[in-house]
Amino acid sequence: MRRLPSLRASLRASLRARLAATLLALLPVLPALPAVAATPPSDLGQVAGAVVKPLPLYAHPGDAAAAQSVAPDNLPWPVLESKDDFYRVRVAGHDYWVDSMTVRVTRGAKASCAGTVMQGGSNHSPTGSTPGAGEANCR
Amino acid sequence: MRASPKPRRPRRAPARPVQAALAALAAAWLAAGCATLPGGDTFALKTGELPPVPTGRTWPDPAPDVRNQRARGYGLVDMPEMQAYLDGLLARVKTAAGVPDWPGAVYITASGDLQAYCTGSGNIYLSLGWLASAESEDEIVALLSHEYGHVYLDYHQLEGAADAADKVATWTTVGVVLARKAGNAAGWGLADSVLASYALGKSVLVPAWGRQQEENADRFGATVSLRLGYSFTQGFKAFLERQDTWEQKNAALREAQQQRLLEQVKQAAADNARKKSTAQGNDAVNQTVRELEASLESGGAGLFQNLDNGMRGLWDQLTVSHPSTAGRLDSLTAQVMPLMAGKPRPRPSVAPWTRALAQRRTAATLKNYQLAADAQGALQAQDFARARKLALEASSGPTARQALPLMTLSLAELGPGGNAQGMQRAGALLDRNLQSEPDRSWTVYVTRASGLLGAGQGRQAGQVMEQGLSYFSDAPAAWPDAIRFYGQAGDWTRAKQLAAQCASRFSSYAGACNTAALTPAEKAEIDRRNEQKVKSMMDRLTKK
Repeated sequence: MRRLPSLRASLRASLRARLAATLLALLPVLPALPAVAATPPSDLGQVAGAVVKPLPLYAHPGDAAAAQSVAPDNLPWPVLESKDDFYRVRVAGHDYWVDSMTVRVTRGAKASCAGTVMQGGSNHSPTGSTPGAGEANCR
Repeated sequence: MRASPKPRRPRRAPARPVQAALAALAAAWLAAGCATLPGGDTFALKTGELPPVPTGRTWPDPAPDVRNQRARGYGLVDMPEMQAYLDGLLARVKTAAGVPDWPGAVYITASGDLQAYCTGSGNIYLSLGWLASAESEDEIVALLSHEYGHVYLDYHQLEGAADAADKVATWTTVGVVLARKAGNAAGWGLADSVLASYALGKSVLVPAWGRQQEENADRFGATVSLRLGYSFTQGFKAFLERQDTWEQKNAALREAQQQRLLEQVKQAAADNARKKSTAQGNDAVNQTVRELEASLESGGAGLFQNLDNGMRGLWDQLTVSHPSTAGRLDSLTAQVMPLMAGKPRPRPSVAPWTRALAQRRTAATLKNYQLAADAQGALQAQDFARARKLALEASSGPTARQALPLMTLSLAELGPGGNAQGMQRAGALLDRNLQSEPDRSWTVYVTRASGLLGAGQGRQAGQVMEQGLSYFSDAPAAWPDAIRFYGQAGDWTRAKQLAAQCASRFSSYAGACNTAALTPAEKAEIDRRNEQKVKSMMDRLTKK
C-alpha cells in the first residue's frame, strides 16, 4: 500500500515526459518567420539577366539614345545606384546606366521556408486553389 | 494541343516496346486531357487586352473555403486593417477587369514563404512573407491582379484533372524504371504500366496547362495593373524578380540537400550489403563478393535517383518551352515594352503601402510574429528563459489568441523537463486559442489532443478532437489528421468510418484519408509488397 503513491508519481513523471516529447517534437516544424531571412529588400541587388540583347548602355539615366550596346556577358553585375527606373552598373571599368525594362535584377525577400505549408502533406494540399503565383519553393 | 518538336534520344533496345507503349499511352491521355480542358494549352491572352467578361459564373460558399485554409498549416492571421486595405485594392482590380460585383476577399496566411494563391470562391491568400517583403503598393497590386486572373479565367475548373492525376503520381519513379530499364520485370503487371503512363502523362500535362495558366494570369494582371496606373517596373516586374530570386535561392538549397541525401542513401545501402555479407562468412572470396554487392547496392540506390533525374530530363524535353519565373518575366516584359513606349513611366506608390504597414494593429501583428520567430530561435538554442520572455510579448495585444505565438509560448512554458505546472500552463495557453472563434486553429486542436493522449488522458483527448472536427467538419484538410489521431488512440473502427466519410465528401482527399486509416499491419503489408516489387526490379536490373 505504501508503494502506491511512488508508483503513481513515477507514472505521472513518465506521462509528463511523453507530453513534453510530443510538444517538443513540434518545434522543428514551427515557422521561423521573416527575420531569419536573407537579403533585406532595400538592397539594390544585381543585374542577373538581360531581356534585350545586345543590351543598351546609357551615359545618364533617362537618356533617349544609348551610348553603346554590349553582349551581356559576365553577369551578374552589381547595381551601384538606382534612379528614374535606371540602374547604374560598372561594365569593363566604366560606369553606365541600364534601363530597368531591359534587365532582370535580383531582389531580396524577408521570407523563410521553415514551417511553410507543404503541398501534398496530410492537411496541406491547397484544395480548391491554383498552384499560386510561382513554384512551391518550400518542398 | 500544340505539337512541339521532340529532340531525338538514343534508344535502348530491350525497353523499346515498353517505352513506345508508354509514350503512346501518355500521348493519348495527354491529348485527351488537353482537348477537354478549358483554355487548354493553346488559349493565350494578349497583354493590354482583356477577354470578354465571363458570364454565368457560379460561386461556391466562401465560408467553408476560408475554414479549409484555416485548417492548413498555422492557419490565417487576423489583420483587419491590412485586410480592409487589401480588399480595397482587390476591389479596384475587379472594377478595372469589369467585374466589380464578383465575390472574393483577401486573407493572410501564417507562413513565412513567398506564398500567394487563390481559390474557386474568388478569395486570395497572401503570406506574411509577402507582406514583409513587398516594397510598394504596385507590387501588391501585381500579386493580387495575377491571382485574380486565375479567378477571372476560371482556372479552378482544371483542378479535377490534376487531382485525378495526383492519385498515381507516386508511381512516377517506378514507372520510369520500367520504361527505361526493367522491361517486363517480374512483379510488374499491366496495371502498373497503365498507372505509370498516367503518371508520365500527368507530369507532362500539368506543367503544360499550368504554364499557360501562369502566363495568362501574368498578362491579365499586367493589363489590369497598367490600366490602374501602377508602375510595371516596380510592380509586376518587381514581384516576379523577387519571386525568381527566392526560387533560385531555394533551388540551390534543395539541390545541395538532395545530394546529401543521395550520399546518405548510398552509404546506408552499401553498409547494409556489407553487414548481410559478413554474416555469411569471412574468407577472401567472400570479401570480393561483399565489395561487389556493396557496390551494386549503392549503385542501385543511386540508380533510382539517376533515373528520377532521367525522368526530369525526359520531362524537360517534352516541355521544352516550360518557362521559369525568369522566362515568364522576360516574355511579359517584352510584351509590355511596346505598350509603355513613348509614355511617361508612373512613379511607384510607396507611401500608401508604408502607411498600411505602419497602421498600429498591423505593425504590432507583424512585430509579434517576428518576436515569435525570435522565440523559436531561442527555443532551438535551449534558452527557455529568453524564449519565454519573447513569446510572452509575441502573445500579447492583437496576437494574444493567435495560434503560432501561443504554440511558441506553450513550448517555452513547458521547458526542458515538462513538469506538471509547465504542462498545465502549456495546455491553458493552447486552450486560449481554441476558445477564440476567429483565431482557433486546427493544428492547435491536433496538438492539444495528441498531448492529452500522450499523457494518458484518452477521454479528454477524444473530446478535444471531437470538438475540433465538429468545428472544422467542412474543411477537408482537417480530416486526415483526425483519422490518424483515432488510429493512434486505437479506435480503428472510428478511423475507418471517418475515412469512408471523407472519401465520400471530399474526393480529392480520399487518398490522404484512406492512407491515414491504415493500421500498422496494413502498412506493413503494403511496405512488404513495395519492397518485393522493387527487389524484383533490382534483380532484373542487376541480372541476378
